[in-house]
Amino acid sequence: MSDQNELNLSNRLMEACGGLEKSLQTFKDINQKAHFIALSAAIEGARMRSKLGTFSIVASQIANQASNNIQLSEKLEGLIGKITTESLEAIAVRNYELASDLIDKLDRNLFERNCDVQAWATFDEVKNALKLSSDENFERASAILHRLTSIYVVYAESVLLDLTGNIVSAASNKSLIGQDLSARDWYKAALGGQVFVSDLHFSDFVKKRCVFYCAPVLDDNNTVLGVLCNAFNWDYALEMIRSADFAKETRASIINFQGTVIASTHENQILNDNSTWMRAGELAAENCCGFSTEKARNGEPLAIGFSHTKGYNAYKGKNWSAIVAETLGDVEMKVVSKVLENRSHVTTPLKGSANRIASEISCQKLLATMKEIDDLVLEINSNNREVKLLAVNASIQAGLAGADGEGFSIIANEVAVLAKKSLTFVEEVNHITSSLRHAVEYSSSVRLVDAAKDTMSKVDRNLFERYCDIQAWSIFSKLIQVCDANLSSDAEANLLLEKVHRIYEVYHDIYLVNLDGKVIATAINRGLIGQNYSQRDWFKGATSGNIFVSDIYVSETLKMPLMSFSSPVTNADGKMVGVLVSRFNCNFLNDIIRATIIDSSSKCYLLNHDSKVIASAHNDEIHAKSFCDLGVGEYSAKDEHGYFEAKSKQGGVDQSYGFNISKGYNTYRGQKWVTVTERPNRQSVAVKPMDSEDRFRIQVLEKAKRVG
Amino acid sequence: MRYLSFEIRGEQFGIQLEKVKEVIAFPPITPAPGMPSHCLGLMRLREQVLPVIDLRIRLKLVPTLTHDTAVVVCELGKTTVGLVVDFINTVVAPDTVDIMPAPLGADGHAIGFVSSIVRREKGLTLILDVGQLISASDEELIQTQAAFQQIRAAA
Repeated sequence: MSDQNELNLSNRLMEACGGLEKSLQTFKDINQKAHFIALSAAIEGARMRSKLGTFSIVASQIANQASNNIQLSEKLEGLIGKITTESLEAIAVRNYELASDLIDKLDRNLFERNCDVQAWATFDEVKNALKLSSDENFERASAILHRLTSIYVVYAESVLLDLTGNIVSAASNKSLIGQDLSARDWYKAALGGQVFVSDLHFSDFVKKRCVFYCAPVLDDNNTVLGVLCNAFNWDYALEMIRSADFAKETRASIINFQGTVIASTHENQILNDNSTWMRAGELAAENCCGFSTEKARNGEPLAIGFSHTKGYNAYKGKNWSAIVAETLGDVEMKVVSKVLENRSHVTTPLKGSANRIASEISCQKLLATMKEIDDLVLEINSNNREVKLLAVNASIQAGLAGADGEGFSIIANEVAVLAKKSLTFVEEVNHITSSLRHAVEYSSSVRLVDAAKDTMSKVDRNLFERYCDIQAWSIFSKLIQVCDANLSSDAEANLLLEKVHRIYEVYHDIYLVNLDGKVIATAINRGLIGQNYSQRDWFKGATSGNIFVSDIYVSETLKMPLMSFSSPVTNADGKMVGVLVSRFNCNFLNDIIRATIIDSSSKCYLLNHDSKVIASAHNDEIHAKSFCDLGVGEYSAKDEHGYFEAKSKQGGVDQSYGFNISKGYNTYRGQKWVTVTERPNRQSVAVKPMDSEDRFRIQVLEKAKRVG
Repeated sequence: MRYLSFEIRGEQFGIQLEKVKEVIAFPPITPAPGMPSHCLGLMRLREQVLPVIDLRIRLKLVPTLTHDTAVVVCELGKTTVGLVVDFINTVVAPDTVDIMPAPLGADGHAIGFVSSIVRREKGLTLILDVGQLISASDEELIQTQAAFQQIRAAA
């Protein structure tokens, strides 16, 4: 299975390119030598014209072939340079994919943070604190913020500010209460009525690196009462980079719009370094995505991918970019930078197409250059055989000349020895190109594993948010009141659910159910009020006191994949009074799958613990396709992630697979789901193309066989 | 004596150097009608057109085609022919002590198309009289095959 060293594509590619260069040098030496020997032989032969006339013809033919080979080797040198550049690009493109994975993951996370602050600002406790301005209400707000931050884990602090800019409630550090923050930009911006997201900074009052999410707190008439500020603990963004498992030689970072490093695998750089010294950093700061190969400040060659954020859903991004820079060994390189996509318009929906083309093209380019090398080597090879036969002919001539030919037969032998040596060269080059080809194939396999890993991590992180959401909403005092009093279709409760539903975008509906299993409030479909759901698993799960997470199922009436998260609703006395259930629209998981960066012939699936497809880019495959027969279950029981090959049932075509099993994220423990990426193996690699001469020969051979 | 050493099916054979004109890579061949099966067709060699005989087929072996397959251009009396072989080695000048006369065949007659046998460090090289080999009857060939086996086994 996958091992870090073995997965190091760059080493493989660079080694192969270095190997090619070295054997080329030997080859050139050989031909130079053959050329000179043959030339002097021709001169000698000409001098003894009468006896060895034909010998001098043969010798000059050898000289010709040798100089042909020298020309070919120069061509080959050009191709080796090209393939080295292309290999570097392939590595850079791979890093671009990793950068895109990283920034996409971050965006999705920050989108959730963007939703949270808006949802929290609608809590009655928060509103009342600002409306009623009493110590008791301030404390209630502090208490609810404390509960919320402990559910979501990722916040370092959450503070409520009144219209004068003073902190009136705080989730964790009560000593903050009373501080005047009216001069802060984020406060002023949120007071204007907009949700505001700060850049990363070291907060002087939270005493941590944070990103602030600030939302105005509004009363029922949409009048601003104050500002809620959630401080996202940046350690969780760093954890995202750490968990992405970059190679040792790789430096991954997030930079802000000015190019300042705000997250990095090398923590000492955070807020201390600026990335615009790299062309990649400059381009990223100009809202571009792409890759570059350039030199580091210490002169080391780097293959860099960069990807600019475009935000996700309602979160429009902060003009940040991810940069993944890999240090390569000793390679000669030209500075190349390519922009694949300009994302100055952040509203473009997430599309994987541009990315896919980049990596596919880089692979195809490499394979095409290898084909060129093959063709050239084929030519060199037939030249070599020619030289060998010419050398034999020289021997024949020398032999026929008797004693006079002795000297020439020695020369002829030397040429024959050289020809043999250059045949070895051809074998070497063939060996190297085949290992290069493997490396390219392998890079696709590595990507399969990376993509499976990244997608699983995004799915887990998303489900963690859903897991937190249902717990957070179940402590809305309005909902607890409605359950406590067993009111059906309370207008305020319906409205509250509707609002939350609107903020988060990702839910199909939310129901509040009383202890009999009857729906008493809904976010969207009011027609369901009064329905009895007491037999549902989510109801039974939540009433037994747990947070329940269902498998993915396809709703028959809605034709839509859904997932239920349910939580008991508990009153102030700790008594269970109802159940809140959210129906997560799993098209958002399909969307994560769709955004997986893999080449266009590959597919990505999410499987449940029975190896059945539960999320896919194609809705009709959900619950219809299964990976049982492939042993995904056994593989994923053994290794967290890995790679395997298998034959598909239909065509018998080899397919390669990457997989990663869910380990959950944070408090969400996961359900043993597995992501699988699938790619048909390239056939062209195994079959070596035939030249026209070969084809002719085979035709003749067939004739010979028939008559023989 | 010097001879050109080549291989068929991994076994070494030779042709006296005096009969050899040159060696070339397997050329394009134009099939010609009405020829015996071991005659593949005609090939061009500069301004000449020569018949090509596949020695492997002549020796009742299944021919293969690789990048090493080559043609030995030989003089047979007044005609020049191309002989297809598996692999060209080189020109060899053996010590006279290693040269042995052709042995007798299974029926007690001398094998017409083996002019002599050369002992090598490992194995034997049969020096072929190509003219005889081509004109030999199938019956003779079959008998000789058996003799070959004996000779090789004895070596």
